[in-house]
Amino acid sequence: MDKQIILKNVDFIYQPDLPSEKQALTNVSLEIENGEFMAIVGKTGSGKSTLVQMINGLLKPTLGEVTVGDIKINNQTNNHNLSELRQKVGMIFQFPEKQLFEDTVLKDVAFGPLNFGDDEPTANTKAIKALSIVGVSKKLYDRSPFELSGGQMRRVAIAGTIACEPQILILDEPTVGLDPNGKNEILKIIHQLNEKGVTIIMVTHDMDVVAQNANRVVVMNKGRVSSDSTPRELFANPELIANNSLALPDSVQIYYDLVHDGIQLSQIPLTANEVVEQITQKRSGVK
Amino acid sequence: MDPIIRVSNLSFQYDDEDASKILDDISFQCEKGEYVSLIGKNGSGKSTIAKLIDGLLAPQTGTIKINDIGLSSHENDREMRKSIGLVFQNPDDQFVGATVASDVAFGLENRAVPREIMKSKVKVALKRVGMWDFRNEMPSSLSGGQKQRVAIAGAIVLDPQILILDEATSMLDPLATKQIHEVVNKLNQKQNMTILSITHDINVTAKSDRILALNDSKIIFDGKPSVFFQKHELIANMDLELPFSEKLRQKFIDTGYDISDRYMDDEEISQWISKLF
Ligand SMILES: Nc1ncnc2c1ncn2[C@@H]1O[C@H](COP(=O)(O)OP(=O)(O)OP(=O)(O)O)[C@@H](O)[C@H]1O
Ligand SMILES: Nc1ncnc2c1ncn2[C@@H]1O[C@H](COP(=O)(O)OP(=O)(O)OP(=O)(O)O)[C@@H](O)[C@H]1O
Ligand SMILES: [Mg+2]
Ligand SMILES: [Mg+2]
Repeated sequence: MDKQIILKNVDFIYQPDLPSEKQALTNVSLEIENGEFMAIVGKTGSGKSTLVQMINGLLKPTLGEVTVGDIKINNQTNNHNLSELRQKVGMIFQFPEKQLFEDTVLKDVAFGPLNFGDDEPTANTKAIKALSIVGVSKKLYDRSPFELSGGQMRRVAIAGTIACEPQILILDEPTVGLDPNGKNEILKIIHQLNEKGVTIIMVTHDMDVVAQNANRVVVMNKGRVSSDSTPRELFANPELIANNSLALPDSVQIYYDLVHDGIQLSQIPLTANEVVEQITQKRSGVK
Repeated sequence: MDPIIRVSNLSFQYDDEDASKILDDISFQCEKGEYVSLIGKNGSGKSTIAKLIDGLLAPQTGTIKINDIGLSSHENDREMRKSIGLVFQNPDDQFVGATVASDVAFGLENRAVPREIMKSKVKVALKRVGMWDFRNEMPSSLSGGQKQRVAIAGAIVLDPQILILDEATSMLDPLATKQIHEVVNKLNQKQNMTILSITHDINVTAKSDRILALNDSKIIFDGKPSVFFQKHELIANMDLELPFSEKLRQKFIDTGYDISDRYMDDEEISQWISKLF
């Protein structure tokens, strides 16, 4: 299958050659296929945000190379060559304030499509569609994006990115600050985009989100990839979880509580539904 | 005894011309040493309440009293705010110092705390949140979760009587989240610090003494978490989600299992499952 994104032996150092220099990534190699739904997890400061910024060229590798489609990024790459990449790869930052800048919400969301060549009516149509998908009410369209609540800002930032219809969508802790309903809605949208073929790369600390959404999960540890597996495989490894300051999703915690009581389910459940199914199954086996 | 926070008939709007009130005639109080969770959907006014209590915003009508002293007279404001530590939703809104250590020291410097005492307090606070090793770094060069921890240190270093946490652990990894909650619980239990915690994490609210739920400019629930979680309709109307164990209990009921009709936490539900075998 097509490897859409390849990181080859990537190192990244912030402020190189200064006393404050800091190596944030060490020898990271990853291949990501078209249409994957990948989660990136790991301790605070383990390099997750740095890693995803490599993929849209916001940061360039100090050593090694990143390939996205037929675009190559290394320490020689000139920023001028990256506009095609920026269109292809949409990024939602960990702090949404960082990507808001226009004087109204609507203008902010329409900025991307306009910038990538749409005329104004088309850009506005896309913006309005994106805003309604993420649940931002019309009342807020003319408001300054800086006069919003935290969750509203997050929604506007997400709208601004999906309005550009990227082929690869990177989300750095997209559900932080969203109310539970907003979180579910946004996850649903991300799923729908993924089903349409958009590659999803999501940084998150929410293990339930990982369990219920991703088909692959990469664990970062001190700037290195320490594990790369399916969520079920990851949660089957409590030691790895503990060593990386992670936690088990509730459903998996219940699985281990039952193991402790001498009850072994056939598979690690990733949702409440799976818990009930497996218990029912086990009980009918018992009878 | 008088409540440490008393909010009476408070109304607030950002824009006087805009007819819609963010908060409409709300009243509540917090007792000294209570751990209260403030919840509500995006845009419901939680951060606004935090800023009103901290005196950063002024209400159009109504009063806020801290230790029975009104917040409205500006004379008192500075004095009063000494008793409150607020951790902002976005840690970047809080940073003022050039290094992590000087940032955390800022509030103490403002209060003319002697240098030696200041140093040791900053050290204790940074160690508590696990950021001592970063003391000489610039706040701008920290990761998201590291910033949040420093912001928390900046508030607890002041030993406030009231600690307001506005989604203060939203970007921490699960272990760090647990550790910070332990620090906060300890401050609450050992020092009788009053905690007002704003969060969307329903599992965190389960451990508080009381839930205050905000919806459509009003407080629509004020009571114990276990009582709140059983109000499924209210929770659905608030766009909230049930805790996992409550969803699981509901799934068991839907599948025809005979399970207790009251709220159970993860542990209780595991024990109940064990007994099925
Ligand atoms: N602009 C910067 N200058 C210097 N060092 C930085 C900068 N940004 C991040 N770092 C450092 O690089 C390391 C990795 O940071 P990164 O933001 O990638 O972590 P993260 O895994 O996203 O963490 P979090 O979960 O807290 O967001 C951290 O130790 C951080 O202090
Ligand atoms: N500076 C401002 N100017 C005008 N309106 C504002 C401003 N800040 C917030 N608002 C509005 O006030 C309402 C309440 O905002 P607030 O930040 O208190 O919500 P919140 O409950 O903290 O939400 P969230 O969960 O998203 O953080 C929102 O509808 C928001 O759009
Ligand atoms: Mg990060
Ligand atoms: Mg808020």
